[in-house]
Amino acid sequence: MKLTVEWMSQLRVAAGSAQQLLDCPDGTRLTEALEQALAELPPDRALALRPLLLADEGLSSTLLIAVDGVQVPCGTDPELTAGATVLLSSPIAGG
Amino acid sequence: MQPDQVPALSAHEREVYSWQLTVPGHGEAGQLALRGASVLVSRVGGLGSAVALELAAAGVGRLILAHAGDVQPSDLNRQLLMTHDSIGSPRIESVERRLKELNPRLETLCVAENIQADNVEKLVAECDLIVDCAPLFEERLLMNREAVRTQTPMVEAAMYELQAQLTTILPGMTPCLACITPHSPPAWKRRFPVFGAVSGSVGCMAAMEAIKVITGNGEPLAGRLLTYDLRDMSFRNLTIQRRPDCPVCGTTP
Repeated sequence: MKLTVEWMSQLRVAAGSAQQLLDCPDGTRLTEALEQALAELPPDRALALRPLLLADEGLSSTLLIAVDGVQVPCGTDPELTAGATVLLSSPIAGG
Repeated sequence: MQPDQVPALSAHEREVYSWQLTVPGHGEAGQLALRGASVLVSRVGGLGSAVALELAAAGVGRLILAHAGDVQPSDLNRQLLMTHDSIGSPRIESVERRLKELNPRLETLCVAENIQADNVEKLVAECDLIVDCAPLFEERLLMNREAVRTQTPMVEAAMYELQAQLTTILPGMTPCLACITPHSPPAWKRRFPVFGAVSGSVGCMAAMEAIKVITGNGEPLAGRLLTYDLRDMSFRNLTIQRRPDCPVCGTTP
C-alpha cells in the first residue's frame, strides 16, 4: 500500500524534503513505516533525522504525529491504512 | 466594573477603530471587550512584536510585556518593535515607546525579565489571556502550567525556518502545551533559522486568535493546530487531543 510521510519543522530540514512516498506491506504500523522511511533516505539524511525522531523509549514523546490530520496519542502505534498521510513535527517555539 | 458602567467609546476611539467596528459580529460591544482586556505577551521578540503591535492597534486596553536584555543587531531582522537607534538599550523600553507611538491610550506593564519561576504567578495574575511567544520551552511550559492552574486562555505560537504553528489553549477544554510537548526537547536551540516575515505572519494570526477569544467573535483554534510552510504555502489544520496522562492537565497523571 502507498503511504505519504510529511516532515515538518526541524525534521523537514534534516530529511531534506517535505514529503516522502512509501510503498509498504498491508498492515504496516506507524513505527514500521517510519523505520522504512529512514531506511529509504540517503544515509546522511537518516543520520540527521534519527536523533530527532527517536529517544531511549522509542519514538520521542515530544514529537507531534498526526495520521490523516488527527493527532496520534503518544505511546500508541496505530496500523496504517492504504493512502494514509503521516505528518511529523518536532517542537518549535518563538523568538 | 459592571457592563452598564463601562464608559462608551469616545468620538476619537470611534474614528480610530472605524474600519473594524463594522466587522460583522464585532461592533461597539467587541471594541469595549478589547479595551477592557489585559493580555500578557511573553516575549516581545520577532513573534511577540507582531502580536503586541496588532493588539495595540486593535485597541486592547492593557498589555503586560515581558522581555529581558538589550537590543542586539541580530534582533533587527524580525523584532519590529526594536530600532537601529536602540541597539544597546533595553528591549522593553523600545517596545513600550513604539507601542505608545501607535496607541497612546494603551496601558502597559513592562517587565525587563523573561518568564521564570519567580515571576510567572504574578504576571499571569495580571492578565485575562496569554500569548506565548517565548523561544525556550522552560518558559513556555512554566506559562502553560500557570495558565492551566488559573484557567487562563493561552495562544501558543511558534516558528522555524519558513514554517510556523499556532493553537489556542482553553484550559480544561483543549489540549495544553504539555499534551503536545511534555518536556523541553533536547534538540531545541535558542537560536534557529527564521525570516521576520514568518514571525510576522504567525504573530498576526496569534493576535487574531487573542481577539477572537476576548470578543467571542469567530472560532479560535481550540483543539486544532495550524501548521504551515511558507516555502510552498501549504497550510494544514490538525485535530489535537488531550493526553489523559498529561503531567499538567491530565485526568490520570
